[in-house]
Amino acid sequence: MKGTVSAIVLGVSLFMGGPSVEAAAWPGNQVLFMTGDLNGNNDGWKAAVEEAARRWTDVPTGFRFAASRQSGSGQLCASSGDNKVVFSADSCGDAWGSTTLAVTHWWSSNGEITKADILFNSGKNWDVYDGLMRFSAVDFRRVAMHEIGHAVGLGHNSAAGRLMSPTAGDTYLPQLDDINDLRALYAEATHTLNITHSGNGRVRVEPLVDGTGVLQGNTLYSSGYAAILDCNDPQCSLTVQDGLRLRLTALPANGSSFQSWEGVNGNTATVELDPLFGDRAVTAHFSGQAVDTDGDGIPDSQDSDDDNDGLSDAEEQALGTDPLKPDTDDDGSGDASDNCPLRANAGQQDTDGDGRGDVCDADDDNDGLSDAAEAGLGTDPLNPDSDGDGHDDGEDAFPTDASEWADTDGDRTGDHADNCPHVPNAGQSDADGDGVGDACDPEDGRMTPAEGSDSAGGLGGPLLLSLAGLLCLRGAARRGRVSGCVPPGASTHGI
Amino acid sequence: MRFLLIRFLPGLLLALSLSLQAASIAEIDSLRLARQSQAAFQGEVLAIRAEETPAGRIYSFVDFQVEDVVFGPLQPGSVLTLRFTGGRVGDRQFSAGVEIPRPGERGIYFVESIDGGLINPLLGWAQGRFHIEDDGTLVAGNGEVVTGVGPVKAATALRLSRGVARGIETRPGGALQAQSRGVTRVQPMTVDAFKAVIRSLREGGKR
Repeated sequence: MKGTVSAIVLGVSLFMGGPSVEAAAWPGNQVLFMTGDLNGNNDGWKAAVEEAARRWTDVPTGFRFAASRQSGSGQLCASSGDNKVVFSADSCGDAWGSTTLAVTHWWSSNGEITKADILFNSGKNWDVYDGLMRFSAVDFRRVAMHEIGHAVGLGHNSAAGRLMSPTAGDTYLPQLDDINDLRALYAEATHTLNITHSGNGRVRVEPLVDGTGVLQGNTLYSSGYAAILDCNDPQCSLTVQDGLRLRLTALPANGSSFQSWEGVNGNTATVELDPLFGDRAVTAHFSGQAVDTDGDGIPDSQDSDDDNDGLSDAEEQALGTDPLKPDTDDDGSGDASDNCPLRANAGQQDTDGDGRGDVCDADDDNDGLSDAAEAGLGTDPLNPDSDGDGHDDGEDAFPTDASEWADTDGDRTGDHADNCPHVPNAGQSDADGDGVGDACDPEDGRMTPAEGSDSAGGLGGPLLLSLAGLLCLRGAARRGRVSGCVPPGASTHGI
Repeated sequence: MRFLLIRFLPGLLLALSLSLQAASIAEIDSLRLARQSQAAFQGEVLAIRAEETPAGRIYSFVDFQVEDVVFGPLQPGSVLTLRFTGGRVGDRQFSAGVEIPRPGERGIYFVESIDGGLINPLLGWAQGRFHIEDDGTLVAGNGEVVTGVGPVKAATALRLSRGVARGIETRPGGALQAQSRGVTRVQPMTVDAFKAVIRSLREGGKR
């Protein structure tokens, strides 16, 4: 995986072609930040850095973050010594500029990070809070988490919702994608925990440190900010970070009871695992007759499709249907063939044939306008082209007018009726009544000296083009919005 | 597909390179971009040299050929040198998250301070850098094609930079390509139109 990252970065550096900076990673799987020089009225800032480091450590990446209240050795802004976190009036001697809140300075040699200092702009107001970021004070802890992510080699990622997204406004914790990015850099220190059970029951998994996480498949479970993990299938494979402690609880189904564990010290239903420093396998045994819902001879605990409806239990869990009921909504269509398995629709009507029944399809006719929007516009939600002009409602600027479908200049008069279709002229004024709107008519007799005169004669063609462009720009600027104006006859850009 | 790759690869790589930023930058809007920059110009990167200080800090000095002055105390045809924090000398790298322009790159640059001394001379970092592709397409710091400059509404919350100032409208290049096969609604903004709007915004601020 590390090789993949390097290849991507190499591509960037080749394109850059100059002395640009490439991504790098720490040689080990831990980093320590010194907060002793982080000033302030109290220890709140230091505690916020510690909390930020803990939130990164508590997710299953295998990478450890720590903060110490000592000052550490070495100088701030120098390439050697301990990693420091400080408020500073400048950025290592450089002015911050008006928009810079915080910066991580890091040094590397041969692709390995050797030092990282995190500097916060002391000219800004800071506070510690959750919720939307305020203009009055920047949330220190959130920025600290973001900068710590940078300090260990993570770049910005534009995907929404990530802590490392530059738009991370509401994200206070590393998200699954952040975790996967970090694991791509430091993946070695995670382990696999295989849990199996026999008989009729399930196993609940809880990380013992609040906020710590466990990965199953592509889902992050954590006791602090997401659901605990119930292992319902006969076998579950979990990814856990090095050293994580877990509590396992054997939960027997009705009519059965917990019997014993394999691979675990202790015979109570609830046990705590020793810290995981390697792969591990545990098994819970339950007594009682194993349940076989669909009567196919395979106990549910070993049957991947308990109700034999053609959807696996995992698929049903993802869909929200009942894995023990072959027709969850009781409409006569089995879950596997039901085009809306959670809402009864006996007729299975699917107007647009997109595989989603109308009762759970927000756009029944697939014309690009939602049914709710069509209700507001007065168009037919079951007809993709309500006015029959050959243009789908979602692409039709006038979906209830068969004579119009485009409004190039956005002035709410359709191109066919518009007396100046490429220049916005809401009033459609035409002083000389020649059918060409004043906004693009050099013959309207009202041009200013600066614009030239109607006697321009042979220059009429080019003048018309340039004038139309000018008017487009000026008219749009008056509306407070300027976009790519296209004069009549000009070719559009080739994209 | 090959056409798409050739056309948008530079933009994609630009976007990818921007992902190397390692700083928290406040989002600005187009008005501020136009009015608080000391200068804005269209130019081409002629050369870059990196220098290391005794403390191990590396700076990159970037020479720009000034092709056109959008506003500010610059002369067309002159060479402007801007200092960016970070760079590489031998196998040693130093980064403060500043994205350093590439040799041969053409673009429109909004300079917060010509005189130097800033960690990044561009206002709003990536928000003050627009790449001009070979075919004239203008690409913002978020890697998307500039399609317009819209009205700036009051922000409800402080946000970190997305690589493009608020009010500057962009679309992914692929999305523009896809829509061109159907009804064309949004078009790339030309470099000249963009510069004209920026000048208009700046002049508006002086009234």
